[in-house]
Amino acid sequence: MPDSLPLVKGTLDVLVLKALSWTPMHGFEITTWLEAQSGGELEVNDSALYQALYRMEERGLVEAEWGVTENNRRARYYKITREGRAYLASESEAFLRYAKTVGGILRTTPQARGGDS
Amino acid sequence: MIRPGIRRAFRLPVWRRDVAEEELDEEVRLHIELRAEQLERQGLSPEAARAEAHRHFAGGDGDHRMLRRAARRRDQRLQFREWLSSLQRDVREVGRVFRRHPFYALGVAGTLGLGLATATLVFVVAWRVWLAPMPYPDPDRVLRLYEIQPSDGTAGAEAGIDVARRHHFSPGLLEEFRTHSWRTIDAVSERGSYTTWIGGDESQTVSATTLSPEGYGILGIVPTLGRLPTETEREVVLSERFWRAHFGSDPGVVGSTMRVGPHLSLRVVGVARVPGGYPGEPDFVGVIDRRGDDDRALRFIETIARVRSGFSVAEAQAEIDAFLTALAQTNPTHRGWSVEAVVLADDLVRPFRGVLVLLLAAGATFLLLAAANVLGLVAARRVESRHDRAIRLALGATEGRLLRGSLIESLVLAGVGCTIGVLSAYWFIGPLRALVPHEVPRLAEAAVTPALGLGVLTVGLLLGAMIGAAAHLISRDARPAVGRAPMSRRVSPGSRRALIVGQIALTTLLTAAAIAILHRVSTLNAVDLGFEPQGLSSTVITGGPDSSPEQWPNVWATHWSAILDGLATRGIPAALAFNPPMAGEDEALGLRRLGIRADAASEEVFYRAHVVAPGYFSVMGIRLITGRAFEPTDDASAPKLALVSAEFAKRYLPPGTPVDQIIGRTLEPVVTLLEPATVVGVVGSTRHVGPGAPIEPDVYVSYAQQVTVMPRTLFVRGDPRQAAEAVSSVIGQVDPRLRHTPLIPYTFHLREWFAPLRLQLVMVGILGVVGLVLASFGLYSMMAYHVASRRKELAIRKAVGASEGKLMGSVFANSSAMGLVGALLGLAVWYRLLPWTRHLVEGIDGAGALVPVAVTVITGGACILATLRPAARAAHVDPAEVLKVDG
Repeated sequence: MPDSLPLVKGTLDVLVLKALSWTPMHGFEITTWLEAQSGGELEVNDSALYQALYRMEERGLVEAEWGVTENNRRARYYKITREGRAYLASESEAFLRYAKTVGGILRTTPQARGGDS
Repeated sequence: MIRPGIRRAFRLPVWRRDVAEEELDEEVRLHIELRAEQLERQGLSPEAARAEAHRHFAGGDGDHRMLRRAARRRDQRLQFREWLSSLQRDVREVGRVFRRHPFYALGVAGTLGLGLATATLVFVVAWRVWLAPMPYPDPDRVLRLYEIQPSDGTAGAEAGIDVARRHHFSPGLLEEFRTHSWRTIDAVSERGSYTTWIGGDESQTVSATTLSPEGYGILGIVPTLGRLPTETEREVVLSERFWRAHFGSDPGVVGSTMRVGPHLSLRVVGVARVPGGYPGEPDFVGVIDRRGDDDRALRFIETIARVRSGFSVAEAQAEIDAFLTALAQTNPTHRGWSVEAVVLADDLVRPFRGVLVLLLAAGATFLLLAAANVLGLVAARRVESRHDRAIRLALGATEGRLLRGSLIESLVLAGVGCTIGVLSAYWFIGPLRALVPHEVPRLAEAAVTPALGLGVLTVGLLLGAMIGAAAHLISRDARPAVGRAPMSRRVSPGSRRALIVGQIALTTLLTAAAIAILHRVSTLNAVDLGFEPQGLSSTVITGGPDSSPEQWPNVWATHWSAILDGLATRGIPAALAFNPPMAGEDEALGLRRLGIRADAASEEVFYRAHVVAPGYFSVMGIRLITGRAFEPTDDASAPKLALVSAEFAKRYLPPGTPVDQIIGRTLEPVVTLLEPATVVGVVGSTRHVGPGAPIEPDVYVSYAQQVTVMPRTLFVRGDPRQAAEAVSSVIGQVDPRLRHTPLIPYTFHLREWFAPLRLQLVMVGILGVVGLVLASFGLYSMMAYHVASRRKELAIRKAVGASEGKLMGSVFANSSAMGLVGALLGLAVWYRLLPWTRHLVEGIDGAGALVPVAVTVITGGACILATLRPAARAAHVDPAEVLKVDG
C-alpha cells in the first residue's frame, strides 16, 4: 500500500480503543477494522499494534482473555475497560480539538493587503 | 517436596517467563496466518501471501525483541497485580476474621506482644548492663585495684569475711602506685564521684567524677572545646551532654566560674566527651590531688589502672605482687597485704551477671512459650473453622491458597504483636530504669532503639510465619464430617497438656522466687542495723598536719575537738570514727584477732575494731546497754578503756560481768591496734557491711588513747544540704590544709547495698507477671481447643441430659488438674533449687508458708479466669446446631 498514511505518533492507542469500543476483538480483527474504517488509507504496523495493546493492558485500559474465533482457532480477545473508555473519551476530545484547530489554521488562505492601506 | 497447589499460591510473575513467550508466539502466529489467508483471498499465492504477511508484521529482529519485551513486561505486571489483588482479598478476609473473633485476635497479638516485650526488655537490660562494650577505650586493659587484707586462716571461714578483706587504696599507696615506674602498667588513677547541686537555689542536682590527671587517658575523656583540667582541683571539664542541656552549647562557658554546692567555685576549662556507664555519665569531671597525703591506714580511694599495650593482666598482677613485696620491706604497714587487679568491666558487672544469665534464659523461654500458646490459639480456631475450610476446598481453593491465608493471618497478628511488644518495651524501659537504682551500671542508658525494634519485628514475623505454617499443617487433617480432634496426628493432647503444665510450673517457680525475694527485701528493710541511718550523713576528712604517729593524739585531738565543737556551736550533732559501718571507709583494720584476755595468749578471737570520738554512739544511734560511753576525760593519760558490743560480750566475755573485764593483746604481724584495755560499757551490735551481713563482735576504743589510726569519718545528723555548708566552713576554719569528701547521706549507702537485690526483684517480678499472663493464655487456648474439638461430644452429653453446670464442671476439672500438677511441680522445683538460689540471692529463704499460699491463690485465680470463657462455651453448646452440622 504505497499510498497509505503513516500513523501520527500517539494516535494508535486511541484508534485501537475506538475499535474495541464497538466489541471485543483479537489483534487481526483490530487491524482489519482500522483498515476498513480508514478505507485503506491508514497503515498499521502489526508489531506496533501488539505493543500498543500490551502497553494498554499493562495500564488497565484494556483487558484480554483467550477465546475461540469463528473458525475455531484460539485467539486472544481484547476488551476495553471502564478506564479505557474514559481515556478514549478524553483523548478523542483532545485529538478532535487539536485536529480542528490545526485544520483551521491550515485551511486559512493569504488575504490581500491592499484594503488595509 | 512442595505440592503444586502450594507452589502456585506463592508463585511470583518472574517465574512465568516461558508461558508469556508461548502465548506471544501463539498470538503472532494466528495474526500472520489470518493475514496470509486475507492476502490469498485477494489473489496472492499461498507462498507469496505468507511472505507478505510476515513482511507486514514488520518482522525485523529489533521489532520482535521489543514486542517480546513488551509482552513479558505486561505479563509480569498483570500477574503481580493479580497476586496483589488476591493478597488484598486474603488480608480483607483476615480483617473479617478479626472482627468476628476479637478475643482471638487480641489473645494472639497480645500473647506474642507480651513474649516479645519481655524478651526485648530482658535483652535490652542484659545488653546494656553486661554485654555491650564498655564506653571507655580498651576495656579489657582497664583494671580496678583492691588492697587485700592478710588472710587469717579461720577468718576466711566466716561469712562476710571475704567482702571485708577487699579494700580500696589508701592515699599513701595510691601515690606509691602513681609515681612508680611500671613496666606493665602505663597509668594509675584515683576515681571518685559525688552528687551535689549547682546554682544558689539548689534546684539542680549534678553528678561529678574526680580523677587523678592520668584518669582522663584511662577513661578516654577527650576535650572537644578548651582543655582538660590540670592538677588544680578547682578546674573542671563539662560533659558534652551537660554542656548542651544546661548551658545550651554556649562556648562562652569555657573560662567561666560555676558555683557548686554551698561553697565550691569551680572554673570550667573545657567541654569533653565523657564516656558514660561507670555507673552513669557524670555532668562534669574534676581533678583530685592527693600529693603530700601519705596516710596508709585509711583505705577509701577507688583506684583504676591501665595495662600497657602488649602486656596481659596476669603480667601486670605479677609486677604488682613483686612491687608490694618490696614495699612491705620498707613500710611495715603493707606487711602481709597484697593488691588484686581485676578487669574493671568484669568487676562492675560481677554482682549482676548471675541474675542476667537467668533472665536471658527466662526471656527466651517466655518467647518460646508465648509462641507455643499462640500456636495453640491459632490451631484451636482452625479446628473451629474446619467447615469453612472444607467449603473453600470444595469451591476449588488449593492447599496453597489456604496456607497463604494462614500465613497472612499469622503475619498480620505477628506484626501487631511486634508493635505491641516494641511499644510496651519502649514504654516500660523508663519505669524499669526508675524501679532499679542507678547503682546498676549503665542501666540508665538502656533504650529501645530503632535497630532493636527492627530486630524484634524480624524475630516476630519469623515466629508468625512458623506459627502460620504449623497451624496450617495441624489443621490439614481437619475433616468436618468426622468432627474428631484433628491435632491428634500432629500434636498429641498429652504433649499439649505437658506444655501447659510446664508453663504453670515455670510461672509457679518465678512467683515463688519473686515472693521469696520480696520477703527477703522486706525482712532486710526491717533489719535492725544497730544504728539509725535515717538523717545521718558522713564525710571523710583527708590531708592535715604532718606529724609523727607519736604526736597524733595531741595534734589531732585538737583538730577533732575544734571540729566537733564548731559543729556543736551551730547546733549540728557530730561525731568522728574510724571504721564506721557501711560508710565509704570500709576499713580493713577493723577485723582483728586478739587474745581475749591480756594473760591468755592462746585464746585468739576475731573482732571488728573501731576508733571513735566521744558522742559517737549517740550521733549514730547505737544503744548503750550497760556501763558508760567514752568521755572527753578518757585521754592518753587515763587508763586504757574499751567498749564492746553485745555480740562481743555474748561470745567472748563471762556472762553477767562484761564491765571491768580486761581485753586486748597485740599479735604480730598484725599492726598493733588495741593495747590491753578495761571494758567500761556494752553497746548494741551493729551490722557493719550491710543489712544482710552477719553481726560481728565489735570493740570500740577512744581516739584519744591509741596511736595507730585516726578517725577520719565525720558524722552529722540533720538535713545534709544544710549540714554540708557548716561542715565545709568549720573544717576550713580549723585547718585550711584539711579536705573532705562531699557529705553523703547514709540512705545512699543503703540504696547501693540494695541495688542488686532490687534488680533481681524487679526483673523476677516482671517475669513472674508475664509468666502468669502467658500461662493463663496457654491454659485458655488449651481449654478453648479442648472445648472446640469436643463440641460434638459435649452436644451429645447435653442432648442426653447433662446440665450446663456439669459441662462447665468437666472443663474446670480438666483445667484445675493441670493447674494443680503445674503448681506442685513448680513448688517442688523451687524447693529443690532453693539452696542453689542462695548463691544468686544471698540469704533468700523459703519464706515459710507464704510461698505455697501465694502460689495457690495466684495459680488458682489464673486457672479460674483462663477457664471461664471456654467453660461457658461448653455449657452453652447447642446440640441441635452442632449435631446438624457435624452430622
